[in-house]
Amino acid sequence: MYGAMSQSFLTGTLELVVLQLIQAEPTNGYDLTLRIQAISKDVLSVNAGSLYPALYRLEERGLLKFTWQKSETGRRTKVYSLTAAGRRELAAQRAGWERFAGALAAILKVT
Amino acid sequence: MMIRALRRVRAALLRRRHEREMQEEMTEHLERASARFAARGMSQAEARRAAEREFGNVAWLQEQARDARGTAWLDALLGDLRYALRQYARRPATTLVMFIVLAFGMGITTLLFSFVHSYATQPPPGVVLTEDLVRIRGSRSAGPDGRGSRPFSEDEFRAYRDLTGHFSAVAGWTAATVVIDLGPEAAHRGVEARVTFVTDNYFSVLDVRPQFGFVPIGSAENPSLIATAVVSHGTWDALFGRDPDIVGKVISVNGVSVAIAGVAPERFRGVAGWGRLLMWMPLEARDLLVQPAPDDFRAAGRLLPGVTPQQASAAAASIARTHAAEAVIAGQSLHRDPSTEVVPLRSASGDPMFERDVKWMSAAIGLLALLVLLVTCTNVSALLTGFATARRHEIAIRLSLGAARSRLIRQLLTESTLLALGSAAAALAIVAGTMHAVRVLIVELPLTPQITWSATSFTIALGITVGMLFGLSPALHATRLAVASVLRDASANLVATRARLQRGLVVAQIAFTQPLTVLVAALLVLVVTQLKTSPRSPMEDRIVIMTAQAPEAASMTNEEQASSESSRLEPARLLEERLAMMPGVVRVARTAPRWPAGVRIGGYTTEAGAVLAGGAQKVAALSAQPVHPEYFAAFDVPVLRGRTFSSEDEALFSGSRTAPAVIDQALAQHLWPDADPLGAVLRPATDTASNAPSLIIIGVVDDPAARRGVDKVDHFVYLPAGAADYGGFVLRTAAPAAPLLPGIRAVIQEIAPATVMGVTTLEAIADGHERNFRMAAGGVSAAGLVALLLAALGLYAVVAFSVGQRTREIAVRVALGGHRRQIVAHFVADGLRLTAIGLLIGLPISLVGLRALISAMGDAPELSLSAVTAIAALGVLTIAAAAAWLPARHAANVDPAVTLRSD
Repeated sequence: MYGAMSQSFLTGTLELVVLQLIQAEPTNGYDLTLRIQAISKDVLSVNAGSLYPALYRLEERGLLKFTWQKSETGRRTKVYSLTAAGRRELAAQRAGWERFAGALAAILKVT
Repeated sequence: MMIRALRRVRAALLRRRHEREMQEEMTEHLERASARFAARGMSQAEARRAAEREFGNVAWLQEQARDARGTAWLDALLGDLRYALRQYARRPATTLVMFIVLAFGMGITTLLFSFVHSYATQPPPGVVLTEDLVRIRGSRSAGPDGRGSRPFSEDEFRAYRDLTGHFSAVAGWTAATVVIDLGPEAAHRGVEARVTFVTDNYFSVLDVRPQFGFVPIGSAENPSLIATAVVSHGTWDALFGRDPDIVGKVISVNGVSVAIAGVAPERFRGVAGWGRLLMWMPLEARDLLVQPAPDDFRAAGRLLPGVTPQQASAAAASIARTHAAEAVIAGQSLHRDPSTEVVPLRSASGDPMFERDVKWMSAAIGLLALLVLLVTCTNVSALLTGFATARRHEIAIRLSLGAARSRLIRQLLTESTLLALGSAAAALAIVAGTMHAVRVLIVELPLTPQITWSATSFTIALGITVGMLFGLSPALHATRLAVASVLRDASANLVATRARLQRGLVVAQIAFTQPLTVLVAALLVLVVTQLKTSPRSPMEDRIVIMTAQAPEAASMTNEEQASSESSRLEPARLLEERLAMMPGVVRVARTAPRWPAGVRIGGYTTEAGAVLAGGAQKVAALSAQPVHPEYFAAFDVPVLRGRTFSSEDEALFSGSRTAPAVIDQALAQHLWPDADPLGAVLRPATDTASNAPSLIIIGVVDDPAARRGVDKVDHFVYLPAGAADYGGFVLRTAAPAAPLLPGIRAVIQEIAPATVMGVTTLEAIADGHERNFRMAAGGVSAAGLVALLLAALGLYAVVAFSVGQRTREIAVRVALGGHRRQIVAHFVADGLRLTAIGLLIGLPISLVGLRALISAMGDAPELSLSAVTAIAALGVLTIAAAAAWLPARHAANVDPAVTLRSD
């Protein structure tokens, strides 16, 4: 129950999560899944089926750009980073989320 | 919106690269995940499986990723196209019929519209269409229902040229037939060609520049420039083998040395010109080459900016009136009710009836084209409706498997669009191919056929829309239904609706096919009767026609006339004697000018009460042809009653207001069906020139030539020719005359080198007429037959398809013990019932169309409307019956168990 609920939160905020983590450090898709899990202490886990379409959508919208780099397997891998538009979008989404979370917290304090 | 569309296009273009990168990225992801699991102590295979489990369904993910990219639609489209092609491949016959019907339907309609439009609006070939380019057209009254064209005298032409308040320039021309000789060594000796003598501004007014060389400029001050000529492209090809060094070459034209100045552009034939060999020379050269015919000028001009053709017409008409009045004072012969109009220069606008003809022609051909289009559209609609409803099952299954309705509609839309676009491309190819063929094959076509893009785009847009709409409407219908009910086929409602729509379309198809069949059949009948009514004389290869170019007597003073007559008639007499002595020549007869068409002399009435029982009067518009006494013998024309002219006639009738006349039996039959025409008198009708003589009938002959090319309103009478009426000769030869022609030309050169004379056989003239006619008739018939074939094909397909779809019903009836023959009879009867309804609906359209067609043809021979309609109806009925019978019999003969199981 607990896990399913956090997953449904993640679905709504996946873009925010991805933009935030990539701003913190440009990275590729695989490392991003590991990092979401690690930072959220295994509360949140995102599977490839959601992550890659989200990445492509953000790229199509011009919020992400990428460069090809060598990975530890020796293959080349796409390392995503934010564009200027991506940084603006992140700021906007964060502000929105903070307002929402604040409102929610206020509601939850009502007894 | 715009940006999204652009992104989609970009994504579609980069699709392959994105696909590759996505594969690469996912492979790398899987490898690193497997490595992670392997590091926890799993085997290679286990680690790989675990990684794949964690990753999820790769194909689904890729689909999601493509969606994110916005390229999914492209894959869907490609899929739809593949699916559509498979669907069509499953029913190749029906698909082929739809494709052919759509392509030819759109193609024929476009061609018809384009040709009418070209005829109505295109300038002569090689001339660029501009609004200020006009024809100054002389006209005259020509009987009760129309006006004929009328050339100008040189003075009248000059008067138009002086209308500087209306025209910026006026060019004039007059044409004559000449004999060209390329020199003793050349292959072409003594060839006849048509020379147009033109004013020096002719080419600049028409805005035509020679393909190479110069425009011939004549000037009185510089006589060396007079004898130059521009030859037509066809002449350059036929006589000079496209010699690049032709400019400066000297040829002999009517015995005068003429230097070639240039070659006209490829299709240019002047303002009006049939004939193979054409050339243009300065007007000043005319007197050197031919004896001028002064009242034979035609004119074209450029309007000043702001001047309308109507304003110019008013000015021109007043000049025509002035000149008519002057001619009356001078006692010259006169056209009836002469006038002049200024009209846009079109290739066919030289005929004063052009504007009226165009209206009728557009109406008749437009109706035909519209019918072709309607037949096409109903046909394709009916087939597509059947096509899509036949797939209810398949659509229902796909819906039950979870396909979105929008997805199915998109699929069906793709199918019909594919068909419509494919046939539109084929239609355009047909149109372009035909236009090209016409241009290449009919070099002498005095018309520039051009694709009319407005009509073309309308036709093709309509074809595509109809294809798409009817492919879609049943699809919408089918997808709207509950899946289960369709699968069970329990929805009686659906079956009824489907049947109603399809039956309605079958009826519409028949209703439109009938008028089309009727019109095409009528057109073919007209063409055939036209061929039949121009009988060819069995001896036409033994008749030589020699036409001299004579000055018009009208404009000369009496002394001039007398002196020119003796100078002209003396060689003619010598020539006649020499020709009579030539071996192989049986008879020589002089012909009068304007032979053989004659001159219209106006309306005549029979004498009241004198001859006709009941005292009724009959009126006939007559054309008269003066002939010399030997004429009838030369043509072996049998004399049925009375006699022909004799040399005493002149003395007998001189000073009298009566002239003897010989008529053809057809006219005798028409005017005096129950009485003896001999001795009967025809009196000029009130609107005929007041000095016209009464005619007394002295003989009746059986002369098919009198009925050739003479339209119904004008009947032919022969009048005695005077000694001065000399227009050439007719020669009868014992054997085919063609080998004698060079000898005859040599005799002319020897006796009367100054005489210009065309020499040809009657056969060649008739062949020429027939060739032109056959060409036109062939084109019309071919188009008509293709349309008929299409209609028949379409009708068959629609009926057969709709019966074929009821195979299951037939099987059920057979399984329930119905007698096979009865079942088949039931279906045929049903088909015939639909056909009968369609025929009834189509009948009014047929009749209206026939009337328009007959009006457009003008002097159409008697055509039995009811017979044509009945035959067409019978044809349609037969096709429909066959189309109902064959599939019904087929269905009834199959084991019902097999049919029901496979459905």
